[in-house]
Amino acid sequence: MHRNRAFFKKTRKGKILRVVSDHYLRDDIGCGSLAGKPVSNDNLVQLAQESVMKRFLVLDTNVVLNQMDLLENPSPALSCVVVLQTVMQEARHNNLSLFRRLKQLLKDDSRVFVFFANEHHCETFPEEIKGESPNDRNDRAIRIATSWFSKQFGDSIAVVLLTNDRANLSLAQDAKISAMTIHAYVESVRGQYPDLAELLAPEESSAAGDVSESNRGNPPQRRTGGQRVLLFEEHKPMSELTAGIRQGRYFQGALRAERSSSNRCYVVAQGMQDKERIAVYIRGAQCINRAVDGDIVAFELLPEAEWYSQGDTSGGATKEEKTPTGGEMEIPDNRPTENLVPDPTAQPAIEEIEKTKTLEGAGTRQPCGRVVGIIRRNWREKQYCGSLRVEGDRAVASGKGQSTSALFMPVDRKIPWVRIQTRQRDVLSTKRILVAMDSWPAWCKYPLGHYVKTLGEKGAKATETEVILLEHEIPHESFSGKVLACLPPEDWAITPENSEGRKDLRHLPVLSIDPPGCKDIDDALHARPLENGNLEVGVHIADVTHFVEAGSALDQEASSRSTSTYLVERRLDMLPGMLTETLCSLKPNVDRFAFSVIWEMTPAGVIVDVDFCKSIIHSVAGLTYNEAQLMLDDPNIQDVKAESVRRLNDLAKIFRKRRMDSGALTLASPEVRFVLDSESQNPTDVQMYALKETNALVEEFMLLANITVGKKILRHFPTLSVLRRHPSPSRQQFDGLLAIAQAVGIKLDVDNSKKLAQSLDRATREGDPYFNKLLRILSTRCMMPAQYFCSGEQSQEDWHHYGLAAPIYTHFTSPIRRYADVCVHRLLGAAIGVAPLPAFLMDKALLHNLTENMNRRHRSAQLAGRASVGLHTEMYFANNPTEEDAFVLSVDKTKLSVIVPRFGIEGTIELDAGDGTFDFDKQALKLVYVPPSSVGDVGQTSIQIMDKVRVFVDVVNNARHQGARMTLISPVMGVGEEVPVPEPAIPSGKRQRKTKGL
Amino acid sequence: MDNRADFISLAGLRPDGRRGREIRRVRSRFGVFKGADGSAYLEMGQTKIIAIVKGPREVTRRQDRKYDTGIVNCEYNVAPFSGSERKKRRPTERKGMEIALAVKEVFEGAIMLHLYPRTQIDIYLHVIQSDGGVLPVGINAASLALVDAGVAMSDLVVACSAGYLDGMPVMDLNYVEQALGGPYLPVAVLPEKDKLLLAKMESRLPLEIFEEVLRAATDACQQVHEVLRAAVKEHAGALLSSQI
Repeated sequence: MHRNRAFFKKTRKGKILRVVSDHYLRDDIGCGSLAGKPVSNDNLVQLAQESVMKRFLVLDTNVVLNQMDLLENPSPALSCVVVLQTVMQEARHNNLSLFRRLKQLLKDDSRVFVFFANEHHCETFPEEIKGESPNDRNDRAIRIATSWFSKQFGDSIAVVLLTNDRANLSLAQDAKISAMTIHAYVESVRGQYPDLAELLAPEESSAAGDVSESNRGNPPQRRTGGQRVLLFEEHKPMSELTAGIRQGRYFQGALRAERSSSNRCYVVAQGMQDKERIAVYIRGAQCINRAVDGDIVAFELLPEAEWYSQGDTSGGATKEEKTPTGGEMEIPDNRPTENLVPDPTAQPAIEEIEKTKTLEGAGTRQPCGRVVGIIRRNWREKQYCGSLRVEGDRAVASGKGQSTSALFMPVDRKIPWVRIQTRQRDVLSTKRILVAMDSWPAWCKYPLGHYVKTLGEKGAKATETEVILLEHEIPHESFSGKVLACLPPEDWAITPENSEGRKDLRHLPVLSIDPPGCKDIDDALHARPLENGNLEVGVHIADVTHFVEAGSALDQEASSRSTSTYLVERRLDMLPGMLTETLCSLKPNVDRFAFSVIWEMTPAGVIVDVDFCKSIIHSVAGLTYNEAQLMLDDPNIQDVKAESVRRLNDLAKIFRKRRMDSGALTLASPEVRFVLDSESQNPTDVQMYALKETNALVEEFMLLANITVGKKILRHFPTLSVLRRHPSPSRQQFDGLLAIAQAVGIKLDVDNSKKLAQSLDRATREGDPYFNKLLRILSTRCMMPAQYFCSGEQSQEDWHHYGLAAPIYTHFTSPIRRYADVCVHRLLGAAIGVAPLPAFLMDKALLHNLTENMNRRHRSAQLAGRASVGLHTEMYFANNPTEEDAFVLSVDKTKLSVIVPRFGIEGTIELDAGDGTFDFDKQALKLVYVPPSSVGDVGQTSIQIMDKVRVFVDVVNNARHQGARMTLISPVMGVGEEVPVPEPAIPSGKRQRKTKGL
Repeated sequence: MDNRADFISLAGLRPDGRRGREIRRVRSRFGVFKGADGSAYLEMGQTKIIAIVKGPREVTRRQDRKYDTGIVNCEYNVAPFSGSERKKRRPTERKGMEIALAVKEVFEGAIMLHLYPRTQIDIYLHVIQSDGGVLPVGINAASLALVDAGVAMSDLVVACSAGYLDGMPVMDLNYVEQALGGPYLPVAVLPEKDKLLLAKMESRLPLEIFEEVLRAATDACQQVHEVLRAAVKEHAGALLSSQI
């Protein structure tokens, strides 16, 4: 029916290659396709007539690239849109994620977004013109298609080309095509749809060829005599950057901001001065030169004289203050210092470690650099959470409804403030909003962005939780219909047909031990004596892979989520609730499918035999840790459950001892649990996480099962196994810990995990039970994060798990909440011949992506969990300011950082010597306060690292502080901090008493 | 993550403008070299191949001679300028040998060799320009050259490839589509007899999808057959009218 109509040569000059390919033109594609279905002329006319605006919009590429947020708004003003293939191709070439979003829009059947393959339509294909640049050709293609459409529709429906390209706009107008800029268009519908203007991204008017808008409200920067003052050095053009990098003048790397500031960055550059990787500091707005965390930048090294030396804590770059404006001097960084967030990097990020590496011969000086150009922006596609800066921002006087400029402060401190235009500044000032960054011209102090969405009231728990989820990119939308369609029917039950090939283990006294209220029970255990005097021990894991078919929509969703995320008051599941809480969960007194690992072992814990099988189990009891503990403690309880638990516990002790002897580490983290108010879900109390013997029991058998399964799958799939490794930390990573240990007179041996474990066991302090735990917390922070990997990617030595002292480790025991376990289940299933291995688990490249994603998601789930704890901590202290014991984690000339064990929180305390002086002993990490002589002889006070101090914790929200704050109560160090704002939550009398306590 | 996604546009078109179940444009010429017994030039899209047939003639190596049947030889050559990068290929290259062997085996199954005892038929393939699907285009070209040479075949051999992109089977892959790394299944058939002569695939594929792809490939062969049959008919007509 549709044969090739004609054929053109298309050449593309890339690497001096001449690629010739077919290009077929057709006459059977109608007027494009809507949500995947072809549409005719009449359909479109009808659609337009039904719409509010009664016309079609044709988009130019620059509109798509810059105004995606606007386009995604389901406003009727932005209905009936034609997206041309030329535009799609250009968008894809420029920005893949924008391309995907555009494609999603085109697929959305609630919007009228028509895709038209103009390049393949015989009447809209632009014939080649010699000497025309590709850009001009594409613009011409867009104009041809626009006029074709208006010819198709005749007079009934208008067709408008939206373009922000000045050349294209004037050419279109010359050719009598109705065209306007997107800004003009939004302006024209402002009467009906005022909200759209908010979403409009400002234009980078300095860019060549683009239209300078005159009616766009106030310019974000003042100009002097029409001429903009450049605040930053212009970025060098790409050609110069690549040449410079090749010649070794410039270096390339991803810019990373330090945790608390967008103004202190560093780049880890490769291959500089023959060293593998070096961190180069880039400090101060001038040096960073408009780069943002995550961007790939080109930079040059500063002369050595300007390098930053280690002792210099001011962090100020050498050139920072040279901003030519003079007037507006708020550097994006002088934002309130937040004191008291549970440390988000308790697991040290790799970057922390690399920071310690210094350039050869540089002594204590750190190499510093300056950004000369941006190779690729890595601005977050889906926007930044934050709020408007309310106070101190120069309000631009404006009439009602006029667009004003406002400063947006992102929650993520690594991101600079963003200037946005808004008409609803007053409304937004108390809200959490989403903002997208658009550009950062050299004449702007802050990057330009635009408002995207309001999340909710600032400080409200739901809003802040949403912020946490968005900031950590945790998928939290509910499962799509496609995913839910993969679930088994409501009335699914075990039948002989669907349980074929399963071992029936329903007669075994299987039981599960979990925290109270646990709904997603992954694992259950059993232990029974055999006739030959040995014991049979089984670990039964929920058989998730029975319900999650490999490659199905459900599987893909699970693999993209990769882990369940546990917040304080909420759980975000990896799998739909039906599987998580019902079908897979190994609840007591029902039959469940399981994947079982069954050992035969001697009472002394020597494993004689192991068997893996898919099974049906019938759990006899779902115990909590407390109930199980009771069975251990009370010998009077005599039933099959109690006997099982005791048997398991005896074995667990043996295994634990064995593991410890081979060098496994007992690490610690300051975890806490909140008691939530049953209605408001607000925290009413904080408790330490109490670990019982039974926790260790379950853990021990899970470790055993994981290791056993790891070995098994590795034997069958030596290059395809999904394993988990924990790299040994390098000596340097322990430097900080060793310095602390030395200061307090403890000897730690960090040669290997065994020696570390032994020396940690010995390191105790009389009368201070927390001391040992503190050391363990600190040593945990020296460790590298454990990671998933595919066994074919790493050499065998690198498979080692340092913390567990195991040569091979994997995750098998929690398939309900971790995708790695799902993969391992499939591998094990294939290894024992239950089901063949799905194709994607045989592809190493895909496995690599899979494990990368698992690691990324795992980390962000952890961080989100901690952020949620932080949020609740803050809420708790807002209502209950408390005086507590704390321990000093680090100390320097003016600052302390402390941890409060009871709440598991950390914070820094700034000290002010007033008229007195501080003496800092670097060796002993001891700070001595010498009071001024005027006070008389009150004696010196001192604080050493690991010392116990008293602190007062409360929450303040003002210009200087935001969030929780700590104040030192005793010992007295310098002048007590003035409390600038009285606490509404505490009666003033009470506060007075506290201050007297100083 | 996977660049095989997003490959087929929302209008259901492949990058060159074809739909999934469309083959490329086919153009052919017979008798391009008068010196040979038979020759043909065939292009499918941007893949252009000349096939030359010599024979049936006396077997050059006596020990190869068979008394009840003829033998088929195939030689495969790629012009250095055929790809986008200029590159000289040695005749011993594995890929070329493999293609030559496949062509030889296909035609051993199609030529009525029992009619030509003690002879050999040589097929020479010259790839002038390559843009994917060299093997099927080569088989088609050879098939036409054999027709031109008047060698008896049980049916006109036709070949085409199929693959699987973006969740749907696609016919007659060009180089770009082939290089994506998805499955690539060249198939040669005797269309009138509905007989499969060759099917070659090196990737893993679930069985259901494989069947779908195989069906697409044989359908593609039918489309090629229509075009080639018309060409043969036209050629035969021209020959007839020139002889009268």
